[in-house]
Amino acid sequence: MKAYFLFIVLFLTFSSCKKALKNVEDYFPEITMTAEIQDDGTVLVKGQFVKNGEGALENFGFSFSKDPDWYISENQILLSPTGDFSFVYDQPFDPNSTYYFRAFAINYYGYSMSNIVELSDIKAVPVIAPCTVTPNSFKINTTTNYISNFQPASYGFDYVEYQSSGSSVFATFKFNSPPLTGIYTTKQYLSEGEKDVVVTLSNGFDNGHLSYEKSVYVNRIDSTSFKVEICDATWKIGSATFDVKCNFTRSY
Amino acid sequence: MFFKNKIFFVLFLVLFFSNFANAQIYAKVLQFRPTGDFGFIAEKTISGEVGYLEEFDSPFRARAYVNFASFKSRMEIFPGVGYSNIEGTNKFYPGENQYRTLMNLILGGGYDFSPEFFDDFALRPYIGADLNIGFHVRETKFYNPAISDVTETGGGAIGGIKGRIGIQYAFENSGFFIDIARTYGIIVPYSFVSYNDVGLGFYYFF
Repeated sequence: MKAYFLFIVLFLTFSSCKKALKNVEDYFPEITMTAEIQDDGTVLVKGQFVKNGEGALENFGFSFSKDPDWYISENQILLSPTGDFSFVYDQPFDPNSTYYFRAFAINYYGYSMSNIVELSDIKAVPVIAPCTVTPNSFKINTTTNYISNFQPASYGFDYVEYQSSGSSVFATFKFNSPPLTGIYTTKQYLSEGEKDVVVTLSNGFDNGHLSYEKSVYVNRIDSTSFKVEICDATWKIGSATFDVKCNFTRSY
Repeated sequence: MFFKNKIFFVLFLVLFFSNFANAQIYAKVLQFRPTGDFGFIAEKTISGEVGYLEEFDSPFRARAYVNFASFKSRMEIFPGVGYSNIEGTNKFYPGENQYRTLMNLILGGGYDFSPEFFDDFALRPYIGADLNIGFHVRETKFYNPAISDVTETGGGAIGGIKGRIGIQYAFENSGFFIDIARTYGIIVPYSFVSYNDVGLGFYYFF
């Protein structure tokens, strides 16, 4: 009996040994980050693990602020460790301000912070439409139809629709998400993560769509509005084909 | 009060066990080396143990002891993690955890084994196993600016097992020994606790 007790206890205790790490900092992840201004005025932040630390990784994420000494909950995005350690901040940034970005990673034992990346002059590179169209109008062949009504944005699960209508044109622009500055392409269907737009048109009698694979020039004006321009597209109604151009500014 | 009670308790053990025939008392200096999650928060520490030790009697011997250890925290402030869920969105709030006091008082008892072959030798290896019970005292401070600011002093019961490998050198009425031991237990209501210890002891035969 004594022998059983002795050998069972010895086995249990010595088989369970997990030495403490010599350097307590090694329990935590060590991370670095980069932040990059994209052409569309968004900021791409990427984290990288220098070491994973001990124990299971729970979460990682990013935060930014105008205050260089900010609490990390501000503008925080918390990501699952099963995904990529990157994120695109697409809110409007003030180009005259300086912003501070930081990544963090959380594991079983605690958390660690990355270096701080400082960015200023965050703004999009404007896209220039190769035509001039009268503002707030659709030009169908040679007829200018002024847009008089901008319906509020309509949000779906994975898209957003903007409807605008004038005297004889009702147009709906469907994007994956509120559009940023950039050149979008007309499509039949939206593809996730692409700069796609589905444009449907109606004259009150006939419904149709804008020809596919055409460029739609979007410039984000500020946090509340954006400008859309189309220079080279067609709209087919029956056997007739109409040239379509447009230029309008509307709210998000 | 805690220390005072401990000293009385140890004196009681020594006096009590010294009345046994063929029994020895021992004193041991040992270094506790926390492992596992306890090793994350607690530094190594040196402390003492006193106990009662029988002579080997074909081929087992019994022992009982009491030891005490006060551990220092490995970091003054540990990075603490808090989460909140607002309208279905989780948010991380960094905080600070402090372990200001970490103390264990352990009472243990068990058996050592050494083959009879070594009866005629002064130098004698042995292995041993014990059951432990005791008390754990800790003072902690968990601070998170968005969630909590809690300082707690509390205690818990410890229950565990201990395995040991050692070697002793015997003189006529005394001897000394070196052993390496590993304790694995549970602190109710906190968590598991585990540590190794390396000890150098001296025993005296009454």
